[in-house]
Amino acid sequence: MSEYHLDIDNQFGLLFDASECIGCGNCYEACKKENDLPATNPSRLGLAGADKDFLKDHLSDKTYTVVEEYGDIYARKMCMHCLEPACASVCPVGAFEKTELGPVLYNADKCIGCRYCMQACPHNVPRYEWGSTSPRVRKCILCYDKLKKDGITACAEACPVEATISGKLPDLITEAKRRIKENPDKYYPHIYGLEETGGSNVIIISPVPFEQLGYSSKVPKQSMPTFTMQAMEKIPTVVSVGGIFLTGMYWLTKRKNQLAKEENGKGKG
Amino acid sequence: MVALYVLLGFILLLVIDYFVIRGEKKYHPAFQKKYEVVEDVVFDNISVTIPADSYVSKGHTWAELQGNGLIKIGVDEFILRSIGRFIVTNLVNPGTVVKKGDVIMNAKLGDKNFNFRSPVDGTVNFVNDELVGKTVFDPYGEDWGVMVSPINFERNAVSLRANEKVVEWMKNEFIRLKDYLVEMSVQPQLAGVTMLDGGKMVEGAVAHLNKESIKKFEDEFLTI
Amino acid sequence: MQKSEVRSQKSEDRDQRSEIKGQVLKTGRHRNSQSEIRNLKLNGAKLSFWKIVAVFIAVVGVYSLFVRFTKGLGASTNLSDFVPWGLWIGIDFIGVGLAAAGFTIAATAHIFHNHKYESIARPAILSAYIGYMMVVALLVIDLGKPENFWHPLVMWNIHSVMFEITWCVICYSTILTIEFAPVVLEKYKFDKLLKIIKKITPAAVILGVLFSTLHQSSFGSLYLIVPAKVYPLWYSSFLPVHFFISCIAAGLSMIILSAYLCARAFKQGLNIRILSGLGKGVLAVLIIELVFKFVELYSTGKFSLLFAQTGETYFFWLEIFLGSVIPIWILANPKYKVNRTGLYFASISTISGFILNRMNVCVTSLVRSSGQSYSPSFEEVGITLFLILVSVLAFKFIVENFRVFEEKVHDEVEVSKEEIETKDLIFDK
Repeated sequence: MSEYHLDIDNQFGLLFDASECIGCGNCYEACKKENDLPATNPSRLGLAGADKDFLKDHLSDKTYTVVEEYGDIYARKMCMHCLEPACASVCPVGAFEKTELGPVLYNADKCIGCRYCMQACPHNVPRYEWGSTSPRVRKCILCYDKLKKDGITACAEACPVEATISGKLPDLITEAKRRIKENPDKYYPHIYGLEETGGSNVIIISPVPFEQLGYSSKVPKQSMPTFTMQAMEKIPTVVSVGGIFLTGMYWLTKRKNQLAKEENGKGKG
Repeated sequence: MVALYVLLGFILLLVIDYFVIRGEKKYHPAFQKKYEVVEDVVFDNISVTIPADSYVSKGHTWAELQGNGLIKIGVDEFILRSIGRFIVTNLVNPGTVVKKGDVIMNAKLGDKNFNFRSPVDGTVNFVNDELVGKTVFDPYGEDWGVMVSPINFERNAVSLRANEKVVEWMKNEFIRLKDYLVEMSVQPQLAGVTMLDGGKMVEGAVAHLNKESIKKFEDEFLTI
Repeated sequence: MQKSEVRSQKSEDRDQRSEIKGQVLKTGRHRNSQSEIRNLKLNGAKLSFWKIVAVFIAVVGVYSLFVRFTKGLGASTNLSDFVPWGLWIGIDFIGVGLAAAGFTIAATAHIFHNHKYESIARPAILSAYIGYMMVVALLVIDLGKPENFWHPLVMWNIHSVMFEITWCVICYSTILTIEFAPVVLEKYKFDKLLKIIKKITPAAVILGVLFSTLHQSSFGSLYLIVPAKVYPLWYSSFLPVHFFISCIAAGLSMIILSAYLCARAFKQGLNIRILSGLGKGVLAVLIIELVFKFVELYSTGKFSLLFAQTGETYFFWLEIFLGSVIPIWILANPKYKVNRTGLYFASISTISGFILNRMNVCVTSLVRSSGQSYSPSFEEVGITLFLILVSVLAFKFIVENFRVFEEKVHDEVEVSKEEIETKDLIFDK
């Protein structure tokens, strides 16, 4: 586990406040622009449609973040950048990397395309380029380059109402707690991402229970890799005990057969 | 649902194969009519199958009444176990009138010859041409010997055994065979040939005997 | 009866024999006359039925492979962001599980020195070998970037179950090669190499058992990390143990079933003594598995799910009935446990339950959480069938050209010698 425990104090993160979000879609647009992603919803493609058609868009290999509409509340969906990411732990070739800054990055050159990351992600975030013959996994990278340079993500920069803010993770946690504490009526008393999957770099606060906004409440509170490690750490025991047992049985049964043969030989003589 | 598709695909393959075999008028190995006898103690690690619903003669040939009134004849597995992997050299000609106890099949293994005898009286109608020159693998299925139209099968049947009776008798035959092999192996001219390995019978032990002993084997086990 | 009375028949070469079959039929000396014509017709059909199917599958398979590699996974499969693993992964699970007999039989014969099972060690190892090759091929086809298949060899992530499986499968395939090498080497008489290999075989078998134990169970470990996605009836922190136990029963059953298939294809007898011995093993493992499963369901408080009116419940019960209850009932019944029909159905039932279990874990159990139903595309089915066809043909080819079945070896040598002698006899006359 220790490998994943990086210094949280220096990590960047994102705080999304669903009660502040006005559903303007600036973050959605900024994300598309920053990551050079093609337009994926009717109105932006120049087709006929309602003005806020981006609300109907969904995560895909061309869309790293979406804004979803739940009554009069808007909720953003994107990679949570877990502190101990399942995707990074399951990838057989280590194509995912939890950087020291916080973002979980993906290296397409390493990837073999087994899609275990997609299967393992508790938030169902990674998307695949199904249409390509050399497909890559696509997901939010927390604007890694921009974050390194400016210390802020494109979506946070574009947000007009401070519904999405980026910064150092401890500061964001403090800010989230402050908002909840100052307006206890406005918020559901829980910070999503603080405990889920053992903590993540993206944290969310909301006026209603998170289940109502499409955030899974089934996500375990412990870090995902521990589920696998419980089994993996038994491997050395299995190998050594099994090896000794089998070798022992090999010699024992061989000796037994030999003795039986000698016995027979004597009997005949 | 995918789980069901895969499962059904697997079962469908087996079912189609079953009907393909049926279409070929062959037996599916799982549905051949046989008794399985597996008793390690009595049989010295030898398992034997016994033809179900057919009559077995004292000379280890079986007779099965066919739907068309003919009698199908072949050898039993005791012969395979005791003699070994022999080759059928000759079958009696179609049209021959055979009496119970007449030779209907010749076989050989190395330079040793064996004769198998008819369990019933009758006229030979068909012979299994494919068997000649072949090693017997499947004595109750593909490797049957001849078909005869019987004369007074009811009378013959009295002296033959079927089903459970065969099982009991077969166990006895193996005990008899073992005794016989022990008796032969103490004779000096057979020194060097081991038929009993640690008290257990070696399959195909009879083929290692000399010609004289084989004559005796034939008298003891193959005549009717 | 005199020799002269006995009709002697020229012993033809086996292949020639089948060619002249029609002629023999015409002369009316074969079986009974009513069924002759019918027989002749159906014999013609028999030669071609599975061949036609094979050609059909091959055409579909090659086409599907073409689509897969030119258009990508999206165009050739029904997989999606919500169902990233589908039929192919399920078939991989099933294939590896059914090949488990390779290590159980090798261990029984070579480690526990149970000579009774030596005669089936070679066919078991061969089918395991071919099974693994098929699974590896299917895994590579399933990879989004098949050209990078070698990456796990140099890019390590020791925390990944997938990484561990990859390495175990590679190592175990190598060991299967060593275990099977004598069959090839003895044919071409590489005696020196054969000696070396025979010396290292015990060590190889022990390592093989260890590698098998690890990766058979690790296929279950793959799903440990998705506790929230897998339906609770199948999720368990003991998934790797379940996978390991069930693969033993399935592998042994597969050996039983393949004995029947070989008896059918290569015209061999069945050794019921060996098969019923395997049946005993299957019975023991199935009982352990069933008890373990229900004790665990009870202790984790999932018992109520067994009676919930959901699709998952029905699938689970079907799996239990097919894979445990029916075969246990058959195999525990003294009337059927040494009966060829009984053993046949017990093995089919066990394998059916096993297939259902693996497909349930990797597809059925995830339907609810993914919110999307999945059914395989034409190409997915085509490629799967094609690989199964190739495996069957490979098995057939090797069996026909190498000494895989001990009995058959013995006979072939015997036959050729005998046939010459028989011919002499004819000339004497």
